[in-house]
Amino acid sequence: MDHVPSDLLLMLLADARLPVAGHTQSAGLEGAVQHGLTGADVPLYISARLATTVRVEAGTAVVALHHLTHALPLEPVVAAWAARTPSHALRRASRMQGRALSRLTTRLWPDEEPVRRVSGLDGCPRAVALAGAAAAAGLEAVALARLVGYDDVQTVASASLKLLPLDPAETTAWVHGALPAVAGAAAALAGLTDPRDIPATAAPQTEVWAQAHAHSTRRLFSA
Amino acid sequence: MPDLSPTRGLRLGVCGPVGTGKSSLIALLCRELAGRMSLAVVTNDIYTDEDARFLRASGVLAPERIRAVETGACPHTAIRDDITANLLTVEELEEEFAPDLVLIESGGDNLTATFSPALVDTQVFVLDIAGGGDVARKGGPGIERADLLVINKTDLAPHVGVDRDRMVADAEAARDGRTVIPLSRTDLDSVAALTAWVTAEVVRHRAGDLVPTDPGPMAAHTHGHTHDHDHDHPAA
Amino acid sequence: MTTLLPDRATARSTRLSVTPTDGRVHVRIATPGNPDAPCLRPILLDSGHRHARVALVPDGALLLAGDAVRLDLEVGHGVRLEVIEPSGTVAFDMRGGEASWDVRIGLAPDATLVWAGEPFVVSSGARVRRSTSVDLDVGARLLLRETLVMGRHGERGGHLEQQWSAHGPDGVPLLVEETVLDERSHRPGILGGHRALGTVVALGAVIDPDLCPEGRLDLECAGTVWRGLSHEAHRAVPREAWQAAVVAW
Repeated sequence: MDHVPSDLLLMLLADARLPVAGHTQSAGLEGAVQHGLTGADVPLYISARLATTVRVEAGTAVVALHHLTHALPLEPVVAAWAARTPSHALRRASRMQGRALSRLTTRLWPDEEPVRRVSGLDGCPRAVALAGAAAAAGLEAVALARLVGYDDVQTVASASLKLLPLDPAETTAWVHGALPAVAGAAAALAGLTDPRDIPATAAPQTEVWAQAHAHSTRRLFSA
Repeated sequence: MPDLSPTRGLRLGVCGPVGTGKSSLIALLCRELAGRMSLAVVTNDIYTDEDARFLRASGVLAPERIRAVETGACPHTAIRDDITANLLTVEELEEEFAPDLVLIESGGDNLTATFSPALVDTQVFVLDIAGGGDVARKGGPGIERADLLVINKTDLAPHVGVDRDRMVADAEAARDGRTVIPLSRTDLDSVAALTAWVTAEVVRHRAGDLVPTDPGPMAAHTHGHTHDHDHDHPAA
Repeated sequence: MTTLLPDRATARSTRLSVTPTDGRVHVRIATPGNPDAPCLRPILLDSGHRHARVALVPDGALLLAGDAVRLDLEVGHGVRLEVIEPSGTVAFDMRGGEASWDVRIGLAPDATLVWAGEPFVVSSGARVRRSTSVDLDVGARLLLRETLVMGRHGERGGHLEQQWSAHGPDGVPLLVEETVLDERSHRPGILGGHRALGTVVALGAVIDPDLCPEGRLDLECAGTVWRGLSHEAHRAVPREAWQAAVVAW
């Protein structure tokens, strides 16, 4: 295949039209709204996620990328992620997204070793599946970490249009406003290589919300 | 020659507007077919779980064979453009139970929503008598070109002032010869016609003779003046 | 800003080990280090053939700037140790200084530790680093409760950074968590304006899946965490979960 600039591949992976069931995800927003979160709180919710959950996810992705590109085993990365993700509902949602992503990357890069390793991994979480895509696409660790952060912010913003309808220019302004924090987190995490160093920053209320949300019978989103 | 007959069971989509009886139709099929073949169900609720819970509560199938897919308020997307969540769930059920038939219920949307042929092998569009006699005449991709059109709750016709035979005739005209089944749970012949159609689709699929077709995203180009398709179109 | 880092060489640590013998368990307690420094002093309340019960009592005023509390706890093969705290702990305004509180727990095969922690209150102006690190050998079980409280009554609270980790045999991570509580943790999704964060950690056994669904998080490896957020310290720990788990343990 002809060389494709990595920024084009990053655009592809960051696109909401990517068929990975992104429309089923709210990044915990629906659970939060069920517990009283209002539109005015969403920017703070986004920033709280960037300080906690997103660091775990992006750290996991970056370390998985290192393990994929250095012929190191992925199991310790998955174990580190699982130990940092105490909510069963969140682990399950992440694994469902991991499968959706693997399904796609297997189609896009059938001959790439990292994609094969990731798709052969039982219960592969989303962050590790994204690392497989990043390895196949030749993305740098920092770009991968940015992708994880950006996608999380966009997921909250687009779900808020369903749950707390408002001017979409406003939600896009939230995303724009969160970009410095995304960049900062990515820069801080891009150098990680050891599963033990993956951040374990907890978001206790998010975890409790996610678990309650998974048990609720009336919901629009998977998580 | 390699054997091209599919190793997995038939995937049957059930779509149609809200309240036309999709869940009841699936419950009916489960009751009628469970003794003859292995079944599984995927529901796409706008508010998840509701339809899955209805089916589990109806006791027609083991609860673990009924799975709900969340659609993020995009029921159309989930069966048409990004079918990933549904495909993963169907594949999961196929892996666990190797069913002969997986029934996929769409989230009740509107007249335009139909399944992607990448998700289902064949699809049923469900209308009901109570929706009004002119719905069939208005058409739309599902009404005109779904593999089967069911006109449900025909027993209600006298109560809602709809001419049942007229509605069926309109539907048949709109469908260009494709099958229409007027259905009432109390009319055992109509139930038999439905299960016979589904069983025949399972057989065709198993034989490798079923090619999924797309009802299309929108109403087809129609000509008010003629049904002759060989006439010349004016140059655009 | 001056930071009074604790002088670890002159701080006082606590070592507690409970090991099996042919008769009553052997309980060893030591508090090496500077005798003028405060520490946690274990008081043996009860012991028997395979069990012991210990109270952790503060020796000296805790917790002030420069304090470095350190507790090493070993539970031997097949022994059950219960730890209670007669009172909670308040980390006071440290006026630019900081304090630390480190607990290391080693659980031998089939050992059980039940630790009924009391609230840890981070006053406004307090700056504390806390860590808990647990190693569980085959068949070992841990049941621990913990309440972190931001501020005394009417306060917003200070700054707490807590590292919590538990590893199973062969170093497999079971639960790894960093909790940072400060002004920014009041954001929705972290504490969401609540003052108290209560946790029950149950590791090494599978809990009945229907037991106490409220705030329940089932871990990847055999273990369950219950979380509670509250405005009141005594309501944060899910009481029902704790009581049910104590019975199960």
